[in-house]
Amino acid sequence: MERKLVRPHSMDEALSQREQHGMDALPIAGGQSLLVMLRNKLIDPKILLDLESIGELRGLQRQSSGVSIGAMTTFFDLLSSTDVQSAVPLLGQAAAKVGSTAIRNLGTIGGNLCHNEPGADLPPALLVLNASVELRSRKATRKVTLTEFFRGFFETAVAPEEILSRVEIPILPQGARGAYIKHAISPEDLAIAGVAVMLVPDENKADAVGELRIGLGGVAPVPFRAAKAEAAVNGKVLNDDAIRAVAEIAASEAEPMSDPHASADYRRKMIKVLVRRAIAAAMERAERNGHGKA
Amino acid sequence: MGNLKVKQPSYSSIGKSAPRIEGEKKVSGAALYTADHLLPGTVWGKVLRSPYAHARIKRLDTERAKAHPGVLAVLTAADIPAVLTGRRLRDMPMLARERARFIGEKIAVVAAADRNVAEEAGQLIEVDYEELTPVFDPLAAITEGAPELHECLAEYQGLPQIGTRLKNTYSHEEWLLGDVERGFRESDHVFEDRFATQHVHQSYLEPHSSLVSIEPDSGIIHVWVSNKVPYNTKNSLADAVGVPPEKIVIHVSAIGGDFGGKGALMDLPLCYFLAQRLNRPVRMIMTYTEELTAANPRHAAQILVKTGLKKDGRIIARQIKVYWNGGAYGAMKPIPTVNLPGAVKAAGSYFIPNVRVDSYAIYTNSVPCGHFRSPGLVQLAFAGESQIDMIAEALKMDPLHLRLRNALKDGDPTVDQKGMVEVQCKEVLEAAAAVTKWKHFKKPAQVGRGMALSYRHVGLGDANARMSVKPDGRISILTTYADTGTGAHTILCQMVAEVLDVPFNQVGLEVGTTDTFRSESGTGASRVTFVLGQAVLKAAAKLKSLLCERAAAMLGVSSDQVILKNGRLRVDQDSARSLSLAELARAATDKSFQLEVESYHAEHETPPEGVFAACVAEVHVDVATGQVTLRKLDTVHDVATVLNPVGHQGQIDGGIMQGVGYVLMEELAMEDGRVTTANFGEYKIPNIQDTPLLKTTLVHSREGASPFQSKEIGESAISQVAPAIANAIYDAVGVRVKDLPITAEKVYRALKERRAENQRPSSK
Amino acid sequence: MAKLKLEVNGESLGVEAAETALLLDALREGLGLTGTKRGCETSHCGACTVLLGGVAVHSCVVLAARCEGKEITTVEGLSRDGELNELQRLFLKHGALQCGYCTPGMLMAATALLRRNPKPSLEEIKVGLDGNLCRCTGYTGIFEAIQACALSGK
Repeated sequence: MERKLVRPHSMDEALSQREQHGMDALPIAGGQSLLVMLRNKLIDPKILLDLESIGELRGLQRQSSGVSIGAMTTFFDLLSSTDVQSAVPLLGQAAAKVGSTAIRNLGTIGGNLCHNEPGADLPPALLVLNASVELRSRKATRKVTLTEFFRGFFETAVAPEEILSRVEIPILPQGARGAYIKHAISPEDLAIAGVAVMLVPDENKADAVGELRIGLGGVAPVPFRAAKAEAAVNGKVLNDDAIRAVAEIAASEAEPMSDPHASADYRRKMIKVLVRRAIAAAMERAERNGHGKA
Repeated sequence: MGNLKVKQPSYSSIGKSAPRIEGEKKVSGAALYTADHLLPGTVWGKVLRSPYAHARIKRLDTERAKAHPGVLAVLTAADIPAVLTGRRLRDMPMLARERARFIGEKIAVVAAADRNVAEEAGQLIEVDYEELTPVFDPLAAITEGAPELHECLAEYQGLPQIGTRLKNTYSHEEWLLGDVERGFRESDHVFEDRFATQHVHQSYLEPHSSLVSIEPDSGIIHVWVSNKVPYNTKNSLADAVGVPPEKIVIHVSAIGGDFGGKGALMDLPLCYFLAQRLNRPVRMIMTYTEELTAANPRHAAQILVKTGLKKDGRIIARQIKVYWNGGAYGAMKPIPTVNLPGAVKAAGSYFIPNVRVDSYAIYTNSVPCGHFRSPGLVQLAFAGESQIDMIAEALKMDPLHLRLRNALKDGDPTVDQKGMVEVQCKEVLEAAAAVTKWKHFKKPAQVGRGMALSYRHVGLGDANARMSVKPDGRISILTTYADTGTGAHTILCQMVAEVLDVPFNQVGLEVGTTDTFRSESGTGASRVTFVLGQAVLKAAAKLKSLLCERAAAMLGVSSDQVILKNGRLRVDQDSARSLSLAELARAATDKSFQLEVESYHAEHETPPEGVFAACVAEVHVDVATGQVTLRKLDTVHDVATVLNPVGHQGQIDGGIMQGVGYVLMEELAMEDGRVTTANFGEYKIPNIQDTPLLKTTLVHSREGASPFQSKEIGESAISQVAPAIANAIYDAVGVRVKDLPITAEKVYRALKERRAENQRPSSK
Repeated sequence: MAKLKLEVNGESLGVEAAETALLLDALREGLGLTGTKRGCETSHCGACTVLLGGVAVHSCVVLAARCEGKEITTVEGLSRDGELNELQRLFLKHGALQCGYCTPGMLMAATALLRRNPKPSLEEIKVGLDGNLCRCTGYTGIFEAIQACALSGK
């Protein structure tokens, strides 16, 4: 039976399809990953649910509470948005490293998160931005932190009747600065290991860390925050020893896999290197820009 | 020394960067590659492949597949003749009969109008396999306990005769010079090292495609196929499917890259069987996953190099044993010995009085391998040139000096040549040192340089050419050699423009079919400029005589009074009396006055010429991650006349980047015979961001074996890249990686090991 | 099956295609425009690059149905009345093509780049063409041609 293409014009229509068909109506955002999976016969839904004409899924708004990004916002939109550049530049930096120009023209933040391929660039950055996603069904709208969103290898919290509608990033604390560093064969490949950090200075103690957020990609079945490493340093001064210790703990939290390009052991070792470098890059950013937001 | 600039004769067309004659078509989307030929009613063929590396096929049931809506035909081995195919060694069935010998071997083929239907239906074919013990390592395959992969080896057509046959070994070539055992006995230093190289794929952007359409009344089989040896393929196809070769006509299409990988039948016989059964045109296009898992990649190899030297750095003995992982079938290899031609140069660009090379092609249960730009030599140069640097280090010599000490000179014998002439080995090395300021390089931290050297020769074979003058006065070359991207067609036009003294844009080229000539070798092996070039020059000479003769008749003079100059035939000393080519052509209105000639040329003996090239690589190594960044790649090439500078440079750049991919990132990674890097996201070839600064230096000499004193370039600009980079990595951070590719992880581990060693109590 | 109306190179063309057909197949087998090439078909090689609304896309991962009402430009649309444009001419001059299979995709990616950024740096050229693989040329001729085109301002 020929696969159908259904093209709703509103979230209501789209969500009705999901309620009716569940996973048999697979939402297609930019299609850059999904259509490859279709070609390789890894998925075989009866219906492709085209999200392109749904206005509510578009738009990027900078509000007082933070930045709200529609699921259909493309990588190109992200890296060229002045709102992103001023409020959450780390997101733009990560978006610039995805895939290739053509893929960035069509690929979307929503599609990328729902695909959840290890080594993807946006997740570590979004994790340290404390992003959450809005999942809508006909019956309810819920917000899920990104940590809760990533469930397993290519698996997310999106239920069969739901569609990811928006990505919400809360406003960053004063003085926060971040960096994203990835190790890959070529700059735009999936990361062998990718590390994003967000450094928030302590309000009271000048050179102590108020909060250090570390997001890791490509080194576990899901992208994740290195919570233990973060806890070890919050409130402390970030000297060389502390940085080395943080990197060690972060590496121990990973569950890397081996693949043709890198062994699990090497990935774990690279986390140490990249965490140190990402922290150094974030610190350098502050020195250059004063206390601008990261 | 350095850039030996020799005064070039001044040419009008040769030596100019004439634009590609097929270029306009290519940039406007009008060039037709095999898959671009759209015939009404064409259906798709799709192959079902074995998921097991070694298995007996116990049961094959196609009923469900045949019953699937939209399926037009399903064929298995039972439906086709039990004929084995191969370019030389005929050991490969068209569809597996009773036994699958590699993951990806063809089991069945399905035809449907819809490509997706054909693919889905393949999954409905029921196959019962009984797994057999596989063997993946060539060194294991030759041991007593290994499974026998081809019990009927002795019966195969095209099996090369060899002395003692190791187990699972279908070819063994050996070359000898002097007495290598004595050489080692007389050596002051002997070094023995082992190297391993990986499978890599040619990665032409155009996947293998076939289209077959059979004319209903005449039964003529029209073929379009991405294959650069149409006559060989026609004959192979005829034998494979059991039709007379004169029933087959192959239309030579544009080919989207070859690099040695497009010479075998691939899907063509299956395409034919389906077309014959359905009376409809059938097309088959390999997916890129099929290409990466089941085409004919570069052989992986285990290489042992033993080198003996005197105290003063003279190499007096070198012994190389190379075990090629040939994969499940030898069918993809085209030379009569079913071995790799590069093995003959395993000893390197040096005068060594005692040499022994043993080159073994071995069956394993992995993808059958074939030719890829400078087959065999790329692997062996990595081993040999890496070892040269290791030796230089041990002897505390500059690697440049060790190479210069031993560089081949005019008249030095090698295993296959009594002595070469116009040898530019030393000159190329010295130019490389000069242009990179080798002796004065101040190394920044974690940066290093390495050099390497190799040489090649032109290829042999035969070629036909037809040449005519069209009514509008344009000269037309008719050839059935494909231009796979090398720029060969353009060079041929330049040659004709030169010798006939007409403007370049007055020369055109047409590509024929296999009905045009009887037979010829076809594109490859660096033979085109050398062999077809000479055929074209012969035709041009014949045409010139014919034109002068005809013009003389028309002008009422004797032919020796007529000269062809600036596109006109004029009476010598009397330029008022002349004819344009168009006028002459228009006068040729009756059959007896055809302005057309044909020629044939064959070369059977390799000229005593070596074409040398050196590479100096500069790298930076990030010691924390092992990541290697190429800062600069200098290459130096031994040339005489450069026929088309832009085209020539393009061949250099392309070969170099293939070398870069080979050493740093490409690998058809295998897990129990399964290729795990099965798409272009996983199998990494260099992209535009990986391109370092490339600098080319040409060292000109006077003579070259090819037309207009030119030299080979297509396959001589690759083998020196991998060892130069490996040597540069060693120079930068002191680690030697002897198995390819040199990934960041391997460098990282080697650095760790070295640190650990340095910390251990010394065991002097 | 669906009947689609696609604006290709300024012409309105009708094509019949499966509902979830890919733009690549609709262009090639549907409309006979074989200039756009079938390479890896998994979005990595860029041989299938066309312009959609003026930006570069890999047509092997674009649904044909989504292209209705949008301007599609393929390599066949670059020449004007059979005359090559400046970029095509410079590709020929600088040896930016050999076998030519990646060329249509490269030309489209380069066209999109120069539209977005008429004076790209070498780095920006490399990023603009980061989704287009070439195996023959080693890329140097390609970015030289694009640099020359940017300089010429045409």
